[in-house]
Amino acid sequence: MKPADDWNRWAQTWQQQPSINVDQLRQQVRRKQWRMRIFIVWRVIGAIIVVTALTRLQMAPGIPIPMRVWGGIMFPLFALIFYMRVRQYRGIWNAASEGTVDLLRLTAKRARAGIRLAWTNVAAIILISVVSLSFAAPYLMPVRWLHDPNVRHVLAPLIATNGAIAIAALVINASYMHRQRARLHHVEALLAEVTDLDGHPN
Amino acid sequence: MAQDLSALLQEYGGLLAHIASSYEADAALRQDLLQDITLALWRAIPSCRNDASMKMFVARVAHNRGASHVVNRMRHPKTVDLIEELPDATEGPETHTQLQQNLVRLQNAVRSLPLNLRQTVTLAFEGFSHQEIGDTLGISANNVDVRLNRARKALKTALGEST
Repeated sequence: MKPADDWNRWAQTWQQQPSINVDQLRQQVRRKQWRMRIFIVWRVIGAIIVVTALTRLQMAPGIPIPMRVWGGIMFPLFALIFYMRVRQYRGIWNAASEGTVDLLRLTAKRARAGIRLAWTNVAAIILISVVSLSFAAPYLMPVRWLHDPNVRHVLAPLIATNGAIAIAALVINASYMHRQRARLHHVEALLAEVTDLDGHPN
Repeated sequence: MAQDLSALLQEYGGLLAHIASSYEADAALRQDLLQDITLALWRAIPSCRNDASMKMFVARVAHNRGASHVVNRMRHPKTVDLIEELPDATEGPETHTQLQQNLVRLQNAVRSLPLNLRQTVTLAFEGFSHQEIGDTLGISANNVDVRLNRARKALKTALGEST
């Protein structure tokens, strides 16, 4: 059979697929648009709350210096997180302008950046834990807290809360890295499918 | 929603549905992908005002969203056993069943192709010329020829037809 015959036969079968229900799709998309708007408003409200809280931390009188320093560090960190979240949607926003290979490369780049960021988070958590523990070292000596109920009452919830937060953050980052590695592996396999050894579309 | 988008959906609904089916076997997820494609089109419409290339523009957006969908859905079945709905059976139930089986086999075969061949094949099925396929996917017409040759062999093998 000639190649053209195969293509005609397959195309004919392919065209038998049902089309879309335009009204139904429009309704579904409208609902999705509303969900996205609500999601964006929710994000913006969250950002306003965080910025207000951090600003108050800087302005309010009587706030200890370490808290002010912490607030100062959180400002750029929060801006960075917000920026990364906005970037996550770039693939959808740029659906028209980029080809599949560019989209896959961008996805791989983002996955690598995500892994690097997660490693930075892990390092930061460990560093903050070590620094905090060295500052608290004198109070952690059994001789201090065994005989001082006040220290015990302050230390116990502090260690329990911060320890739980640190462990949860480590687990979340490890899980995120695992997912990003799997994603990267998958994207690289797809890229190998669609490009030749020189990286051109094949 | 913009009138432009409604007109676009009316005109290219079939093209969008066919492209979505080449990326997703599950009906519910395919509907979700169609919604994402529609949203991407809605956002992208302002960047395209050239009516002559509208079909290619729609196909490009749909394929790019489809590729993102493949990236985001790493673990899911590529094939299905039955198709949910087909146009009315005007040629008798047996012919209808045969048609359904052929279509399901072809869909599964297309979904089993590597991404680059799959995109090229679906556009060829929609009647795009080699030049149009090349312009849509950002590759040369020669490259399209090579891809279609490879795709034909792969499809024949997947469908169990002699090459």
